[in-house]
Amino acid sequence: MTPLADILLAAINDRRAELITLLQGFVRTPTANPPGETRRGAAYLEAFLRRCGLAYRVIAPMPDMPNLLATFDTQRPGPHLVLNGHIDVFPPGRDERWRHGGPWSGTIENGRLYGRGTADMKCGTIASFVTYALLHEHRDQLAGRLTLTAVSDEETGGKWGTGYLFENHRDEVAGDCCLNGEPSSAHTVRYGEKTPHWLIFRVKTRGAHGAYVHMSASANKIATRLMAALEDLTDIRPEMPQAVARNLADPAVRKALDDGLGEGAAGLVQKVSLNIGMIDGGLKTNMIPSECKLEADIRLPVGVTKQRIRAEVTRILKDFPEVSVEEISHPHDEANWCDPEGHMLQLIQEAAHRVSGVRPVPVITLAATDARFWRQSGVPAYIYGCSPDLMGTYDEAVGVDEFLNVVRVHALAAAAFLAPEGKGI
Amino acid sequence: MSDLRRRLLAMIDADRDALVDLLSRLVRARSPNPPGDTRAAAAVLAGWLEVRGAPYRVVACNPTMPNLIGSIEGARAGPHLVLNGHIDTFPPVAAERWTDDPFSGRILDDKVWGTGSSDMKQGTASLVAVYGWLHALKAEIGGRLTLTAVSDEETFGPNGARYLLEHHSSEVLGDCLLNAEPGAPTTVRFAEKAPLWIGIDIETVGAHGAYPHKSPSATRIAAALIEDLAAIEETDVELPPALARAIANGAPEIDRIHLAGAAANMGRVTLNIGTWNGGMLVNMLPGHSRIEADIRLPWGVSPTAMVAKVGKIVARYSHASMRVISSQAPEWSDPDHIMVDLIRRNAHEIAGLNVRPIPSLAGTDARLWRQRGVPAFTYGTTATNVAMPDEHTDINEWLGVVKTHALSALDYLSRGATK
Repeated sequence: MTPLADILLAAINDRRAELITLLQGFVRTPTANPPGETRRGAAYLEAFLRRCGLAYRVIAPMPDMPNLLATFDTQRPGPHLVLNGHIDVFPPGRDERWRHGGPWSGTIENGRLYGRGTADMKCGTIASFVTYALLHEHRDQLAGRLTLTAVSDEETGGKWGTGYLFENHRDEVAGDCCLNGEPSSAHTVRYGEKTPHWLIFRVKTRGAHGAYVHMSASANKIATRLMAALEDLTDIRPEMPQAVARNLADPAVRKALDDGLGEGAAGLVQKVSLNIGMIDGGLKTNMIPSECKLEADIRLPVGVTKQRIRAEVTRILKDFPEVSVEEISHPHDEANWCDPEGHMLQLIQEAAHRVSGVRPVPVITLAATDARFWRQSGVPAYIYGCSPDLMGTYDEAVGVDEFLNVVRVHALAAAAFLAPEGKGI
Repeated sequence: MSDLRRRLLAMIDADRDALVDLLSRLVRARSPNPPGDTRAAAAVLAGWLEVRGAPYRVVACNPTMPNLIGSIEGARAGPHLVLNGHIDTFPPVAAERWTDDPFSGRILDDKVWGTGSSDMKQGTASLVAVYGWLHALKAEIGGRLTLTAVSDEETFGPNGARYLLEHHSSEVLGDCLLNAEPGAPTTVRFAEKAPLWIGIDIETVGAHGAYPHKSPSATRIAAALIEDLAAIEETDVELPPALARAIANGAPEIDRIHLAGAAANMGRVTLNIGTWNGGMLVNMLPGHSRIEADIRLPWGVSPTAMVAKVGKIVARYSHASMRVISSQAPEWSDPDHIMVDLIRRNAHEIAGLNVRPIPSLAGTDARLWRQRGVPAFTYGTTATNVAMPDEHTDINEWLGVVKTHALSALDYLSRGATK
């Protein structure tokens, strides 16, 4: 009998054109968040499930932001694996800065498929759906249970998506392990991540007519000083747990981080980073701005708690009586990780090695994903996906072959995880 | 005092309550610009003129931004005086910090409160009223009086004063302009600094916010650029003697009315970063940021030189590009002009004020007349909380200004007879 792994790889090869079209169609369905209206994106994925004859449920606490949940049980004892991907994508920015036919073109040029969300994470979400459908076809060779979750609002914190599912359907979605296709690069598997600490700073001054610069402090000028002062946060040193410290000390891991995420990434994994993502100051050119709003995206590494950052921000703000601060990220999220040598991690490494010849190393990553909901519940969650190089940029793209490899690795790793006891695949 | 002047003052006194009501209603007829819909406020002014039978017509190149213009001919030859005020206001600032509704028009503590009550609905109401009273006296005055109430001074006048000067110049140019922007009734403004507005765009690749090593941050570049731009405030300035003298003589009064530091700012380049935006989402590394700088040039500094100076600073940042939004040269009129003399004498007579000719920090539509060679002067009430919460106008001070406007216009137009 042909091993299941070979059957899966053959099926993916046979359906190559169909899979590319599937991703292309998904990219052509705009799901920018904000505004976060993801109904069309969900409908697109539902149509796929229906074509495959698969049952699913729509869970939509917000009517504009439906989540999809599908599950099958093999009726044989085994672990419960959960696949998770998000439907929403970053906003496209300004259309005229996109080449290759605009942000929703799905154009393929020189082996790359272009459009907002191709990398983050329509490639990965399609990989989950294809994996689910393929494993369902071959469920008679598997044990345990497989669940598929596609969520609406990962880009804005997951309150109505994965967060909602964990609060209201925990028994169905927590499982024993989560596999997620967010971008990771072929060189790494992500076992942990920094946590975002989002702060809104509001600078308030009296304001005045713009010609009377002596009459009021300028909220915008105070904002520039505040930005400089906040840089202090990036000097905070983390207290790393030993398993993570060991992993980060590994030269192969550091090299993979720099190769996968760009020079400097290995350093950033262990550092507090600061990004002023949004600025909005002043009403009119000829008025001294009485308000300036800064939205800061601070990323905390494993070993720096939110409590510590809050204390440091409070200290910095002592010099800025005009400034108030509000926390908008989830107050209880912390940088999170699971076992860097766990079972699923090894299965992903083996699958990736077979598919691409590269054995990805376990890394902590910079960006937050919904995987944190599993890790914070004590369930291991691993991420393997395409290159994150172009996520969030104009001309975001994913390599077509890269996409197919992600599908292959997910299908093989998931099948291996659900292999009946004592059997490989 | 001549009989004519006495009768004019009597008319004003008789209209006192109606006048205060006019200002209150004008404030309630909100006209923030942007967006700049001035129809309701223009209708309030038109109503005043209708009741008094004073001629006017609506000129509206943009239907939502009507201007009122009207002219009356005196009985004799004489100079042509143009009155100019604007109908629009700043957008209301920080609504939650106002004691009352920002457009209340409330009359309380002998003050009229609300957005535009000072800048410059008090002034425009005054000029409209003066035009109405002098219309009643037109058989006894000389020359010609033209009223212009315009829609978009706050956004530089493309639909308002500038439009009128371009398309109706023979009607609205005149021999002298009297404008009633707020300042202080102890000063008459004969010059103003010139606004130079520059937009700067910063464009980078952008990235996910967790990857700050992947792209320069447009907001961070903008912050650094803003810090660097402060250098333009150190520009050496050589003021023309008339201006240097007026600033030196007026310094204590300038600092009194516009707070300490105002006189020093008259003679130097100032920089305000009026708006600063950037980014799309908190967790994206911003790929663009935009700054709009409001630079004010004193007399003797050319906009061309300043644009070059800003350009040099911007050029240090490869991701930044700049464009000039608006540029003009600082202008001034003769501080010894007859209109200055009339305002000084009348303000002294009416309110016991010693009025000094000084330049102004802020720009007004008066500059458009100066640019066309017409002497232009601004006289108005104290600017109280302009572009701040709780903007208001003191009614008694305002009535003194209204009378000074009325008498100065009358005196100016009567000169034809005595020439």
